[in-house]
Amino acid sequence: MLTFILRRIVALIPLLFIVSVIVFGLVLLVPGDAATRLAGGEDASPQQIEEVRKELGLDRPFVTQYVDWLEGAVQLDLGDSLFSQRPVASEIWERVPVTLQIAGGALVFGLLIGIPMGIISGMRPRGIGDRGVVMVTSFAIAIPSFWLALILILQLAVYRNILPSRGFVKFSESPTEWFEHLLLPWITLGTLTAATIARQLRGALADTMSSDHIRTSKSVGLPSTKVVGKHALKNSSAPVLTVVGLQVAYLLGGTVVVESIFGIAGLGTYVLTAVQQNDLPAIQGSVLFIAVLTVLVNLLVDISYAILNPKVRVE
Amino acid sequence: MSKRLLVAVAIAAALTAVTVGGSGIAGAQKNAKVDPDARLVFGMNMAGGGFSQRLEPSASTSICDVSVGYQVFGTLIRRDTKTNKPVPNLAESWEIVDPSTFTFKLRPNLTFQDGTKLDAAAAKAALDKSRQPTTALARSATTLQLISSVEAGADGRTVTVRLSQPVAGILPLTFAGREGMIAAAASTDTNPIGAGPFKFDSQTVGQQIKLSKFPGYWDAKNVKLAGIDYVHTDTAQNAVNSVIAGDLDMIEGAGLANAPAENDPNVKIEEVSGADYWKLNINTAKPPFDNPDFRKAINYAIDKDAIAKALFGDHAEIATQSYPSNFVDQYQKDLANRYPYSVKKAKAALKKSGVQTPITVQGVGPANNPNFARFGEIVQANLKEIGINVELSQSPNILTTFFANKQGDFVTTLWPARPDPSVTIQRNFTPNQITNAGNNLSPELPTLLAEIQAAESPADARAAYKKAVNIIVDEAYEVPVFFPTLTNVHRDYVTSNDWQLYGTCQGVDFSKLAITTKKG
Repeated sequence: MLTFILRRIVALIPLLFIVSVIVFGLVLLVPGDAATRLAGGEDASPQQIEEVRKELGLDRPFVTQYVDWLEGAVQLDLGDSLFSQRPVASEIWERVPVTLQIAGGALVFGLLIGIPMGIISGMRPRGIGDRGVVMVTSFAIAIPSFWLALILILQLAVYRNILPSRGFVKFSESPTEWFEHLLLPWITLGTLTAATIARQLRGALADTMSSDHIRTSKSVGLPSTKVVGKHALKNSSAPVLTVVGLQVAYLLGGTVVVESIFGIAGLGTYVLTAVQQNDLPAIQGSVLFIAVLTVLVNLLVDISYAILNPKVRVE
Repeated sequence: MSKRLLVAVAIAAALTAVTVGGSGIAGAQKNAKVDPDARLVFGMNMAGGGFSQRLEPSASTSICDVSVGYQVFGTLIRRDTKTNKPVPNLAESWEIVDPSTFTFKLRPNLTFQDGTKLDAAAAKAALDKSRQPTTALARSATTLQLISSVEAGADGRTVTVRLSQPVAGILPLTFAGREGMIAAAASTDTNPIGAGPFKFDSQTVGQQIKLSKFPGYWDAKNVKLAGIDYVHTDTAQNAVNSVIAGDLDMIEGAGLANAPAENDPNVKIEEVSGADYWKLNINTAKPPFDNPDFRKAINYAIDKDAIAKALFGDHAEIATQSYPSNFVDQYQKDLANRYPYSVKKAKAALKKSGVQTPITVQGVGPANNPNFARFGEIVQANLKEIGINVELSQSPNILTTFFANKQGDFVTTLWPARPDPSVTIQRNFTPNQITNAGNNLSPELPTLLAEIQAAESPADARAAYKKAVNIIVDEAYEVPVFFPTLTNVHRDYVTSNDWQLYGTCQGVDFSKLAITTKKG
């Protein structure tokens, strides 16, 4: 197992290198750089903009800029934001907990809703419950998250004042307000996750339930809860775990939209602002962080396979 | 008692109850007391380019930093947004000694929020710091670079500012902006210290800034708020929804996005004419835009009313020049009907220009902005009627794409007003300015600008403004379209006895606001 984990971590390195090259290249394709805005925008003269460009090293060849950045990154120094002039690593670290709370909560929401729906649907394919779940999940997959967010804000915050329309409160300040402020973002982001998990579990469970060992379990008189809970679900969990791993990437990316709409300063809005401002160190640093996080989560998923399925361990 | 009488008494009792109860509620609203412990929750975009997130004035790169800066630092002079004239603030008086010398006198006994004195020496130190050529503020606020020396008077309150050019006349309104913010010696970007009505408490970058009332402010007895919580909002629509929901007390409004708030009984909208204007900025060096008659044809062909209505409804003043009608020292009445919307006149001007149609030109607009996209589409439709085909593109950075790299023939853009009106002429119509794309305009304009900036007051500069504005309009160097009405949207428990415009980039003075006990 340890060798397996180490091998996966080592495989991260070339992957991160490729990601950083691609992101760097894409950013450079966008016209302009941060120098114009930092020099004062339309109030600056072309000479001042050029001065700022030289000060920031933005006039150097692309390869030189990339290598300089890479040298710092391997020492965990992601540079300073061109705008705030604060270390990018600190800025990311300040925002990560907020984003993880949004994404993590959305994942939990997705599991809490998706698993029961998947069980209802998978236990009796083509039954009323299954048809209902298929209809609901189709709708949930089709609706855009930003539309759902706006509808939830209008209906629950603006018209009925049940929940707040925006903002974030730390758990340490008020657990109740923390929950109230995050509930709508969780629902917004977690709806697609719930639908995807439900669909995957439905398919896997339907297959498992028709297998020989389940038939045997039922015929020896085991209660349904034990048949499903102990035997069927365990054997159906692998595809669901795969989906969860994939959903992490979606959830982390989806926080950009959710944080913008709900006015929450997390990693998503940080990346969005950095892109709008051509803040190269901030873009590189945050994308790299998200890439590392995504890969690590998928590593955890792979480890989970090994725990759940002894065959994988042997292989 | 008869049944009829009983019913009449019941109705009378009911009416009385409703009236008393209603007037009680109305009376309570009318007579609602100011809550001295209330904090204003103000929404603004703290993560976009309009706010640099740098709280130290010398590090400021955006004119919209004034929203927070005004509260923490105050300014030496304030701009009265009703009259557009300078009025005293931290400086109780000033004098233009000669065109290159300006003095101001600080109010007595001013202190910074850390207890140190704001005297002439401290003001000199702050101005000397801000005008260093390497500071972000000096780079963008070029007036500071014209200051050759600052001297602190022996009386401890008088400061003399000497300039390398005769532009002392523009300093009063210039010092009403970022340039006039005086920071304490210990002030930093993460712990700003000024002498304004509110002191800095804390900041979560891009999310929230908290300020509390500064008891040592010179006018503290008239400051009714206990503090201000700036919170980040993203789009105008979300911000308006948050005000309606009661999660925010006030925001800077935005045209048609205010619509949901217009019918809400608990929300009010204040309106003030603005000096920001939406326009087509033209590269006058690129054919056929180097042809004055072609530019005049464009001016005649644009249906400004349709554009204004599409974007701001009835909340806009049609622009016929670079200044709105309430800028009495700059606005020229006789130019108001210079280019009425007329396809016939547009075609006549086009014919006179000698440019053959159909012709294709390139228009650029800011990316990810539905309003500018709509603006561009209407311009495209208008110009098509006179045989000019517009290929529209969007850029995430028009300063670089259009102005620096000269891509495109014109750009749909917004010019934000500056505290000093002469900056509009300086930046758009004089040589070697980034926002003068063509850089080939009338050589008279720099001379007229110098006259304007040397005048002792905007009123003294009227003759120069008249000539300059006439040249700009006659030569059709731009296509001004409309001045949006500036609004703020607020809950009804936010009150003021002097409703100036409160917004991200305007003459913000939250010390004039109060919150009643209705907020709860």
